[in-house]
Order: sequence, then structure tokens, then C-alpha cells
Amino acid sequence: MNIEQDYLQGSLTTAIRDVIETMTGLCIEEVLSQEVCKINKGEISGVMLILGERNALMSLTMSKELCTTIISYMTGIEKTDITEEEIYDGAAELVNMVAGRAKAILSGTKYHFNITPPFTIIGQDHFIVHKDKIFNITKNYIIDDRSLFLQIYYIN
Amino acid sequence: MKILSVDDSAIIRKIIKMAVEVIEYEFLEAGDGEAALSIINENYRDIALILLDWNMPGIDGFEVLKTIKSDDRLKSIPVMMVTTESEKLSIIKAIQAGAIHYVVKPFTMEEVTRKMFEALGKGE
Repeated sequence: MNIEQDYLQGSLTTAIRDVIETMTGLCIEEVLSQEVCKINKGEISGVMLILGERNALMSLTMSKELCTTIISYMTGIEKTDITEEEIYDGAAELVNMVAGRAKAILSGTKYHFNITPPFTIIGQDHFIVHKDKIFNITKNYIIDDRSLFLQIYYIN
Repeated sequence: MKILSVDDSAIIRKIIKMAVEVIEYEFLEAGDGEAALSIINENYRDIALILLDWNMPGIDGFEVLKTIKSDDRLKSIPVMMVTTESEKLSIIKAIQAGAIHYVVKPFTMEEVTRKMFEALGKGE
């Protein structure tokens, strides 16, 4: 990993904690494991491109249940009253805020970057596959006893 | 009186709505800049505050801000930016264009409520 990848990973790691704790008050714990899993299945992914000295694709993949929980804590709406559209919108806004927060952390440094509008991938047990030589980082977090995967793929 | 939230995220508008209800104002919402300008033109006499996202499809928040502040009927309405856009230059641009406050996402309910109170001249 070069220094820029390290900075990006570090800022996103800080950002995800800031966003979850500030917006929901929920605890977020990183799962530290030597085991590298290339396929992290989920039901909903918020995805965004990071454009800087190095370009990267970042995704936050989770279950619909976790996404609903996060939105419920963010908005105060009962989980049962949250619509499908709100879940999709929430996943996109979550990745938008994480990338935006990371962008703020690196603002004014030579590692600053721009972000694209976020988009959402939906589907039971979906996962993102990349070519073998693309350097990527996966981090696994636990929120409310459920997994959230942060994945960063360096595309140049 | 009414508070207008302009954000392309329905979830963010819901959070703002909660804060607006806490301070007992009527809530208006728009999902993009074009819809916002239409609502503002129809309701400007009753709008006490506008909370504006920056990055939105079509007319972005900064363009909406400039439009409001260049219109004699609208320019006295306080506008508060609520956005992930956090570059120092963007904050300076927005304040110079007439934004009264600048809140960077993520935010707490307390922070956004306090800034709304300040923008409304209630100083809490």
C-alpha cells in the first residue's frame, strides 16, 4: 500500500465512525481479522467514486435490516414505517456523508479528492467482484450486531 | 411561519423535519433546486428560513442561494447551507453570497436545531 492509499483508507475509516456515531448515536466496532474475505454479500450497497491523484471506488455493503436500523436512528422513524425508497435513499446518503467527511479530512492536503453523486445497488446476496490485480481494501464493522463492509477498490 | 428544507435526500429532509417540528414551525420541502425556487416564489411571504443542500441534480444549492439573494422579494429570507461540501473555499463562497450559517454533514440534531434558532434570531 502506498502512502496515498493509506491516507484514503485512514480518512474513510475515521469518516465512517464519525457519520454513524454523529447521525445515529449507535456504536460502530471494527472487526480486526487476519482473514481476508474477497466476497462480502449484502442486500444493499451505497457506492461512490473518489477522484483524486488516485481514483477509487468505495462501497458500503450491508443488510437491509442494518440499513433500516441506521435510518431509523437517523430519523427517529419506527423501522416498520420506513419505506423501500427511504432505505435506498438512506444507503446513498450514508455513502455520500462518509465520502464527504473523508473529503473534508483530506481537504487542504495533497491527497484531497472530489466525489461523484452516490448510487445504490440492491439485491439479495449481491457482491462486488473485481479483477485480481486491482488493489482493494475491505473493512468489516459491526453495528447493532450486524455487519457493514467498507470496500475500497483502487482503479488507477 | 414556515421553514423550507431543500435536499435531494429524502432521509435528510426527514431529519430536518424533526428538528423543525421541535421548534414548532411549519415544514416545507423540495428535492431539487427547481422545485425549491417554485416553492419559494409561491410562499416567500411565509418562509422564515431555508435550509439548502449544495450538491443536487439540476440547479444546485449555490445557484439557488444566488437566485434568492439577487431577488428583492426574497433576499431577506435567511438561508443556511446544510451540505457535505466542506471545502473552505465553498464555505467562504456561500457566506459571501449571503448564507447565514453553514452546517457540514454529518450533523447532530442539537447542532442543526441550535443553528436554526440562531438563524431565526432566537439566539438559543
